[in-house]
Amino acid sequence: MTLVVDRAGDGPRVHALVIGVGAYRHLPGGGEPVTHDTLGLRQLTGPPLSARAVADWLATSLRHPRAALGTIELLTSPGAPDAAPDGAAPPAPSRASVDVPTMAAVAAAFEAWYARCDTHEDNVAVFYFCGHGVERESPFLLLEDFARSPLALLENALDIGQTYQGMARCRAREQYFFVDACREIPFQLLQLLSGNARVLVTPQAVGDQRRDTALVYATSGGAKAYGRPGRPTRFTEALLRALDGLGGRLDGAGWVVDVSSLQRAVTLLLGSGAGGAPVQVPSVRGAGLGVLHTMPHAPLVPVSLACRPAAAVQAGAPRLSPLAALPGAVRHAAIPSLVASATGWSVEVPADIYTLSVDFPGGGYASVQKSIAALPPGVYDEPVEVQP
Amino acid sequence: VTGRLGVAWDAGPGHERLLACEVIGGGRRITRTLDADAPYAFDVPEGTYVVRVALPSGAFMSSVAEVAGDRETWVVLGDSTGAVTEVPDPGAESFTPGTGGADRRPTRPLFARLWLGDTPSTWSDTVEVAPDGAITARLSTGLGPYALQVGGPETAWRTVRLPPAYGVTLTVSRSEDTAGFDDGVHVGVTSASPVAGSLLGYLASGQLDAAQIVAPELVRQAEELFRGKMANPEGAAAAGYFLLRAGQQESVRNWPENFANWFDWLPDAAVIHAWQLLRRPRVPERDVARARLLQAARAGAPCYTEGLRLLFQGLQLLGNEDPDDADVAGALEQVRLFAAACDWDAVHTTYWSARPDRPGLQRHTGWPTEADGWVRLPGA
Repeated sequence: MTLVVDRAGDGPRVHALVIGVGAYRHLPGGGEPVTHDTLGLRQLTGPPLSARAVADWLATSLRHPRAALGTIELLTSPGAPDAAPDGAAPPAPSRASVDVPTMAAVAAAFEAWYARCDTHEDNVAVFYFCGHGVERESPFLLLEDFARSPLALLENALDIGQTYQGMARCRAREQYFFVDACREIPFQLLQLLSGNARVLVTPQAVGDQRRDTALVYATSGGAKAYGRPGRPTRFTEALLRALDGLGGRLDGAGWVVDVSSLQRAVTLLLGSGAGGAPVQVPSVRGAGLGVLHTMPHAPLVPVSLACRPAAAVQAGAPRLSPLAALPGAVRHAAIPSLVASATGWSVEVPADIYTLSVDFPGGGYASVQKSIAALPPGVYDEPVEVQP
Repeated sequence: VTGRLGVAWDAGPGHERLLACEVIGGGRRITRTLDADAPYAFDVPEGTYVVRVALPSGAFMSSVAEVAGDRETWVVLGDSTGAVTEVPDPGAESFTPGTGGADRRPTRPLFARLWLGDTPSTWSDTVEVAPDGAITARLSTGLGPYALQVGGPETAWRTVRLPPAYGVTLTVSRSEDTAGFDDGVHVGVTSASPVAGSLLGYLASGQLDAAQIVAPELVRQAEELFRGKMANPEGAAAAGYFLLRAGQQESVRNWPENFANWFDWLPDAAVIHAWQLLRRPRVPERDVARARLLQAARAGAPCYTEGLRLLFQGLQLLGNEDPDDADVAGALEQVRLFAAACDWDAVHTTYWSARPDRPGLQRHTGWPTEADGWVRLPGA
């Protein structure tokens, strides 16, 4: 077990279990005998980085409306120690030495996490997994010692669907599960998935008293979730950007991130992947309108403007003036300058409604004005028509 | 100084007629339902306002309006009105990718067949090709366990359970997803009830906040159903699933029970009642919940994927508690076949199958061997 954050205290707490599996012992390159069809699965470098990025964000940025951060338990492969020097401050989650996510280690960590969550009904349970996954009648998450036995391929896999159901037994009434894994296996290989995946808490008919729950998948059923070598995965990067503000919505005079607004933002960010990145569409199950995170101020929102014609971009002097039109808005004194590109301008500004003015000091085009609603999840390629 | 802001929704092809709308500006945020058939206007302080609707796909469509004092300013949202769609719309009814594109004509030979229960039904409806190449048909279904089957020599056969409504619209279009569930062809079913269609779309895409805006009207309609004023089991099913997702299933007291009694052929009704009972602390009516789940399993696959998920989970729950319960074990094995072969992200239950009652992971292709009862779709 590796608690990378352990903050004792009274009252409701957020308890997180964060798992990133990259080194699969029984897949090619894993160092152990491979005695089975490997389903086309390979070693991964992104999941440990993704898990550590999530743990870092939780440790440094999470502001739940009712519960302070309590614990973060982290398991990642390859588990390379990266200890802080003697006398140094406690290591950040991204630098801590942690256990590797074998089935035994994950099961033990899960039991301890469940027990912590179960201490208070207003506790908040957060579960995050990044690694390989497959889907048969339920999504299965593959742990580091997956496929140890060729006779029972799913022996060291986790049935997250049933485990999520079983968590109804836990007293924590607010629970969020994030699963960054593929849900795709070719049909002809599905029949190789022998045996049953493990359920870490057996569902019981005790009455589901959870108030707000979500099981967020990085991709839709039967589809892939994409990673990038040596970097956090696309979904996790989008998830953290959404939590940082692009998944924000107005709640009275403040800004919060809830499951619905988070889902929309992650969908947008994955849908606008640069360089022809493949489509990846997250999906969510659950109940309630749980607020995961409150923001101390209006989120920064990306605004990109498409100038038509593009030839006018370099001659233009664009300026955004905030109207302080949103509930609880303050008039922001310093709005950063827009940055020109070949086709338009872009900038990140606090959420608000703005007046865009584009002047052409050198002449050639008429000045233009228009209103821009800079709201999460952002303004993308908003056309700005310019007349000679 | 007060002006007047009007909001209208120009719903084009492929959009629901009723959506969740928010108006932000003047230090306020107002949310309400926006009906394509019922524009509305209200008084606001003069100023700048953003009006946006949440599409079931997960996209926003928005526009900004300047409201001057003593004047009425209208915002018309729609594909043809210049409103900005902030998120690319990846699918017509859910987040299913790969259904967009200019030419939606399927590139593979396909057939379609209508089933009522386990028996092929007569196909008497006209099949048309839309301007964008998509194949459409308005199916003359009634209230009953209807299912649609689509497949072909190069496309795995699939079954789509149809909503309990008098008539639904089928759309078959090309999909860029050739390796996943779509297998190159997207099959969509448009709901007959605008509110139910929006609500189910929002639920499927996880937009419970938007669902909460449009749901009250449907819940009211569902309550009227059980006062004998109207017959809209489709709306009642959508309302029931919303209430379960929102944790408000007790707010309608005993109508889930009436729903399951009155529509005993509809698995979704039994599932909704079962889960109302299973959510209660310590589950005092466990036996009734069990009976409802078995009733649902006997009736076949639920019309909605949400119902199949709840049926599967409910039977797993009871099976875990009592492994010796042979009835539950049998039902679970049957439902597990649907669960293994289904598209979990579709709104309407969709699964690979040679026949509606035989879901399976085997890829079944070809033309039906029967001489009639099916129609070859135009296209490739």
